[in-house]
Amino acid sequence: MRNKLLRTITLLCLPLMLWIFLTNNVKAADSNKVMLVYDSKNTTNKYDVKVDALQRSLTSMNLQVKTLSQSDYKSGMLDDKYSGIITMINWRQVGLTNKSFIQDRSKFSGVKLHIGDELTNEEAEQFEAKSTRLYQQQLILKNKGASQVLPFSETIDVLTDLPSGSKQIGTLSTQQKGAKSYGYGVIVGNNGFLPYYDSKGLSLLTADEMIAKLFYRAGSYQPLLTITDVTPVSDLKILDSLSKFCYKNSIPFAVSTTTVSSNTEMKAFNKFTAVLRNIENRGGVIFIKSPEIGGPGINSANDLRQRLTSYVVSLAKGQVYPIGISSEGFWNQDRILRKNFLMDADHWILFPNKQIVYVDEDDDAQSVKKSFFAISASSLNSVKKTEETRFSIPTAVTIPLPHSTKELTDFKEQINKLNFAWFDPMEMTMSTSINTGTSTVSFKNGNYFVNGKQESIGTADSSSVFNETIKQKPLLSNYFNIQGNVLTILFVIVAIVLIIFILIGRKIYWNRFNKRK
Amino acid sequence: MKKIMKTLAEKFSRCVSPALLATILAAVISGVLLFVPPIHGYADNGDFYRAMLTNSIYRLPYDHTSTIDYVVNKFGIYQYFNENGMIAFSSQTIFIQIALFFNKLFYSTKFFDIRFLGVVYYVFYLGAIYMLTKAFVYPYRKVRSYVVSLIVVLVFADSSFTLYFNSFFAEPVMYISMMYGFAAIMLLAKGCYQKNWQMITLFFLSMVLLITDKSQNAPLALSFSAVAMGMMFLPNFKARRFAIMLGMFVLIGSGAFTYTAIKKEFNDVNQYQSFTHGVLMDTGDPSKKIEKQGIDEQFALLRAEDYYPKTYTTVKVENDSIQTKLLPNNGIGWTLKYYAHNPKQFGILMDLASQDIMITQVKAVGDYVPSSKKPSGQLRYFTTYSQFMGAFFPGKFAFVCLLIIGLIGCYSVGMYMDIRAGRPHGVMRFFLVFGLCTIVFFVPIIAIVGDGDADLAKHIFMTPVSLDLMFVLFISDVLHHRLWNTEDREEFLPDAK
Repeated sequence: MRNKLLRTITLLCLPLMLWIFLTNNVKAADSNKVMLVYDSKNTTNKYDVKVDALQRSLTSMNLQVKTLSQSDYKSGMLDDKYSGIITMINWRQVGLTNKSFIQDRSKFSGVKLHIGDELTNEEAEQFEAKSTRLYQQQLILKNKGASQVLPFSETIDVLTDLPSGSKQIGTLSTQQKGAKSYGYGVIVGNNGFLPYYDSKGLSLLTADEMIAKLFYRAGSYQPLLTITDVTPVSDLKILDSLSKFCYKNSIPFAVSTTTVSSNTEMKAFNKFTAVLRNIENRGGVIFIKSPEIGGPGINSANDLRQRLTSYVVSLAKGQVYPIGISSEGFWNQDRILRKNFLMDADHWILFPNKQIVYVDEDDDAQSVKKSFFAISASSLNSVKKTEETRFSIPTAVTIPLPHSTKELTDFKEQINKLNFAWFDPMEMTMSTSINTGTSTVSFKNGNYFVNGKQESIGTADSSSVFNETIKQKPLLSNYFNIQGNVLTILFVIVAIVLIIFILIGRKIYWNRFNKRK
Repeated sequence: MKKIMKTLAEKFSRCVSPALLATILAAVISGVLLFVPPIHGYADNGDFYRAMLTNSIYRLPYDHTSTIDYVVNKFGIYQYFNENGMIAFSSQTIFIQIALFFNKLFYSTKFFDIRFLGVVYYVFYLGAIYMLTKAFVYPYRKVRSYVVSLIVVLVFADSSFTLYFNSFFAEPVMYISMMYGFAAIMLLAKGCYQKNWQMITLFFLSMVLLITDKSQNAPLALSFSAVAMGMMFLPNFKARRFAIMLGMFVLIGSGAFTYTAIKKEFNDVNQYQSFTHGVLMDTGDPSKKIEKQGIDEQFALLRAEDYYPKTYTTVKVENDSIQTKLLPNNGIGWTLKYYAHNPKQFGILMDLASQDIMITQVKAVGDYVPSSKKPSGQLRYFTTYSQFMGAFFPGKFAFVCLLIIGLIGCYSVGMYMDIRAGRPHGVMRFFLVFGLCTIVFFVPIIAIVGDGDADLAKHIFMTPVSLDLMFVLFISDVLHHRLWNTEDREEFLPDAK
């Protein structure tokens, strides 16, 4: 009896619980949105690079960032759909001028982060701290035993007299005698402050750690070694020996490569897929790199979509199963590029921008299951690295494909020096999928699936790849050869006969005149 | 009755020479096409910017008509210093500057009307038609001469050629100067004028204009030097050798200058596309073939890629592999070597080039202005000849070769006879035909080797023009019975020359 009652109650409560669960979920999804407002992109001083790095970092934290210039901000835009607001000052001389933004921000109850100078008095009050300006300093940034000397800065604003409950991530210290030190990233409750944001080095790592903590998303991630700038016309021999090297040294890695959508029937394409297949067999994974952009219009969406489908299908035919998409950061800030290419995969690697060509810019970035933040290995040179080093966001450490055997040697040295405990997609319980509408390629626990069916990867020994000869002779080629020869002989005979006729005819013709004479 | 007809005809022929008739007809036919609103012309395929920027002309920013579909007749003129300089060296600039001058004088200093350019070309063109017809029929005025003048109108007033006048394409300069050059040689050969130097100057002047008009014309300097060779046989012309040699030297010099004036970027474009649109355009798999010739087979995957990708592309030309492994290795020499090893593929490409050899109308762009309320497309007005030739001319390179052999054979008989008879006519005519034949033969080859099948129809523009000139020459020679014997016939001559 009691059991029955319990069961009925449970049954009755089930929809309720489900409802609570679902609404909670929606709310959680909503709270992924943050707004990034900057005073100016300050492209002359290359601050747009920092905006891009911040956007990609936020995407890696699973935050959907809407980026705005303060001049585009209209009153009421910052509503409770957003869980956080980030103010980024790139050009002190410009600073924040949009009154309605400043008003809306002070009313906003979510997470607030201020990056750069020009902290308003009101913001400083929220930190319950004092803002101090340092002049003409070369500071040293220290974090968790790592340290880096920063470039000389004319002015820099830091917080002093912090309240007791505040958290400091990294410290900035002066170089004079009796050096003073200040907090780099400062968190007081829901408010965060960073004196500056940089797109490389220890500053970046520390800033990302701080932002992730501020948004309660700090994790501990091993970096993914990623080989970039691979194209079908790259030196495949080097790529192959590189993957062999990684395999021999048990280094898991990813390769970000572009591919072609046409000409896939060529032998050259077979060779390309064979090398990629070797990579898969040697513990590597493949990311499809977005194509280069010429001058497409907004009606190029279909073209882009079809390209991706063709990339995936043609690679899968060669038993190459990409696990995600890689692209430059701006692809996530563009409606057409994101919707028709990026969003088809749930794992991304986002690289720094090289050449920005927007098709339909909307600065309304999305996030996916996992997005690796790409940082070049060379930019980590000044950072101390150990096997215990972990990143607070999913990070891909990138090294471009070497062009020559000499560069390959350098590459090997560089890898050995890096000394990270690399992220291994094969061992981790990683599950990815690329869905192009017609077909789905997925990856789970080290196994590849196409449309749900598990696929195995045939081995292609590298020696056979490079000496492979495909001899194809059409069925009727002999017939046509013979036919051609027969025709030639026929024509020659006809020509000879004609010449003889002409000679004879000429004689007869002349003879007629001769007779008359 | 017969007598009346005869006197009438005599009167007509006295008032209106065949050349004048052709000029009047061409003036009316193309005048209606070009200047009676709504006007016609060729729309922009993306090439206009070179001529426009060089001459401080720009597309009006509020003009949103589709460039490729409709002809735009109103442009803006820069009001400030033109920082672009010369984008590509071209003698077309002279004509545009003349048009700009009149435009500023009569219309506006801020806006440019394309019709002013059209008028400039039109005036030169009518002069060319007059001289060309005269060159074909002189010294006769028989009915057959009038037939020839009608053929001239049919062929050379074809809208596919005259539409070029209302556009910034460089082709009108080539077209018009080619007609002048041809006419000058034929008039010289026939001894039409007492003094030779005017025609010789006209010939060299128009040829220099033609060669410097477009970078792809640089090799034509050799063909025209061959034509100039014929002038060595002119009688009673003192110091001729020296003058003609000097002229040939100028021609070759202008060719070399045009060649060196090509900017590196254009060179790269041509080199890249001659590879992706030429070498790789194999029906089978070109991977193996290029590997055999020493280029990494992976580059075969670039087949049909453009230098300036329209939408998306796998690799841009700036890519390291292409810059270090492809472009330094696949120059003209390599391309020639490749085709020498793969003659079959070259044959297929040559047939491809020959396929549309006589289609002179630019099919890729529209011919109407937006105000004509017509859907974007090509007009049919007075295109009978080009339509006919486009449809019926055999699209095989072998046929073109046979035609060349036939023509050269035919005219070499005339030359042989005239050398023996001591007349310059047949000799000069032979060298002219020979020069034109080299154009017909080599232009498609240069186009394929130099730029692949990209933009092919426009690259072989000189071939149909040369063929047309030779066709009409042949017809007129047959009608006037002087194919082999160039002696003036008493029965055809009017009372006075």
